[in-house]
Amino acid sequence: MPEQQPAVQQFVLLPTRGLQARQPHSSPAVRSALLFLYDHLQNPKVQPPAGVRLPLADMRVLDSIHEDGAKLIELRPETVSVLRASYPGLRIVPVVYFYPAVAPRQGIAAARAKTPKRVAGKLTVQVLSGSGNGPVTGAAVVAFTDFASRAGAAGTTDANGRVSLALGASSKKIDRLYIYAQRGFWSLLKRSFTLKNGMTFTLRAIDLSYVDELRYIYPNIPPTAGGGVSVGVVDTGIADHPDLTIAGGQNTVVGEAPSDYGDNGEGHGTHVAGIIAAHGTPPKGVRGVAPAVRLFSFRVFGKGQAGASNYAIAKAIDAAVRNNCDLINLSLGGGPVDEATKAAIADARNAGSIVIAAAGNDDRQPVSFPASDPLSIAISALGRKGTYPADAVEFGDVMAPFATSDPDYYITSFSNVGPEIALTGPGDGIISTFPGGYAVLDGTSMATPAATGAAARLLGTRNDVIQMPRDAARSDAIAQLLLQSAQPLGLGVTFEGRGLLS
Amino acid sequence: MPHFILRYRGPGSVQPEHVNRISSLPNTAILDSSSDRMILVDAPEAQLRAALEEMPGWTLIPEDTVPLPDHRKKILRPPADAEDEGHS
Repeated sequence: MPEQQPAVQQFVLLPTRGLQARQPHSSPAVRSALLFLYDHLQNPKVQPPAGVRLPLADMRVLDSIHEDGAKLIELRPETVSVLRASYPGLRIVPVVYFYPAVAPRQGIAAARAKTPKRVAGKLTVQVLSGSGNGPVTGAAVVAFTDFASRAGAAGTTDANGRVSLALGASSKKIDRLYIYAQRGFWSLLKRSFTLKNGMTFTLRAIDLSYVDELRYIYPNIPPTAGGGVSVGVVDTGIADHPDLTIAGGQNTVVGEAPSDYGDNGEGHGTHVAGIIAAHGTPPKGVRGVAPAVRLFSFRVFGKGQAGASNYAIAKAIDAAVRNNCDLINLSLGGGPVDEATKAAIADARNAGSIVIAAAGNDDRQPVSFPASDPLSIAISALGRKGTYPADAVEFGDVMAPFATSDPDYYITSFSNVGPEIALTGPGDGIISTFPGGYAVLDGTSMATPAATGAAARLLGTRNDVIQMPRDAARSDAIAQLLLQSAQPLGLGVTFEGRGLLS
Repeated sequence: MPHFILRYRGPGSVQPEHVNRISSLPNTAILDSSSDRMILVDAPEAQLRAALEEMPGWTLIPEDTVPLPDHRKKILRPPADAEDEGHS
């Protein structure tokens, strides 16, 4: 289905930091652009000076606060992408209107809501390994009787691979059944069938030589890719793993040992790290996109804690900058804009580092913070048909739009999208390192390190950029390199931004 | 009492007397001061805001948390129809 032509929107253009473009926080290029837009507002016939590259034919300047300060402009979302690629240090913020917080009236659905029925009957199913038929422990089994309304029952398999589901009957029509393995297996999706008590399901073991989406897009990665580049992973920590070498890091969780930057047990950060920097060789190991980077772990999720504090995240970004990380991977986000994280991202930009952040997995909702921050590089999750088994859960993530360049590519149904998206990356069915082995995971959390790895690989070939003084001009140069090197797939800018780094 | 982040974004580096001033406020505990730009404090918000008015370059931000990303599909409600469709 062709993407609808988006309407013209209003945006505020801001210098890299503060409200006026003053060095060292804004580059001369950003200042020149803002000064010219002020002149352009006074006299639209004035010609831009040499070096100022603005899409003037597609934009309209409506107002200006200072000569070198904020500008109110009007343009189409696709022009935002062009502008961002030319001036990565320019913050491009959608205009937001606030309204009185009037409580909404109760709708019909709420008025008709009934007390939920008591679900008495349960049925038990068993999950087995495809390699040897042993039980799979700790697998999450999610059975939807109606996927659209997310109605159903869920549970986790015990030591015998068994789980009881409160479906109210011993036999039930199922819309979708998801079985998510912790590690070692592809997760399973089964649609439109009758689930009966005593049924067994078999999970396919991970074959490390399988060509998943990451290896399809980035085949034959040389062991030297990413050399000379330092990458910080701000996440759950990184576990000791034969395919990973960790150069250093810090645990920024208050109350825990700063030197304990290993994985907190969730495995998320270890998976993210492997996508960037794993240096194994299939079939005994896996390889990331930039195996020669210097990898740093900054743990922000505490042990046994479901959330990371904004203090720990801001402190981790500061620490990554102090460790001279060129790229800082944030596969996390959600919630309101946070000024501590925002300030840390701006300070990182001023110190020559850039933050690459996950758009979020809220099913096509607006890009979440901190990816939505104008100084972040926001990443959506790309999927590709044929890079996962036919019964894998990834099959449930296929959704339009499909790429005009190759209709097997799609932006996953779970990915957040919007004009803030800068790049896309493979994030559907990615095999990577996990504590104690390997796992397949999906998400913008996986797409982000794929983009970070590709960025490191590209940056590693550009000594002229790497050697620049660590200031705002350097981070602008890195961001510009990434945004101008990406190739669009034909998915639309609000879905893929500038496209995919090759 | 909620925790607050004080982040310094002014010129130069953090002045130790500022940190001392905050730590000497009544009912205030400094939870972390190992960062070179921030401190985490447990203190009444109004009192912190008043103190920061005389300390330019500092911003006050409430501590918040971000959940671990999880894209797995979730059940939002039990099955609408609990009747048995087969044998029980």
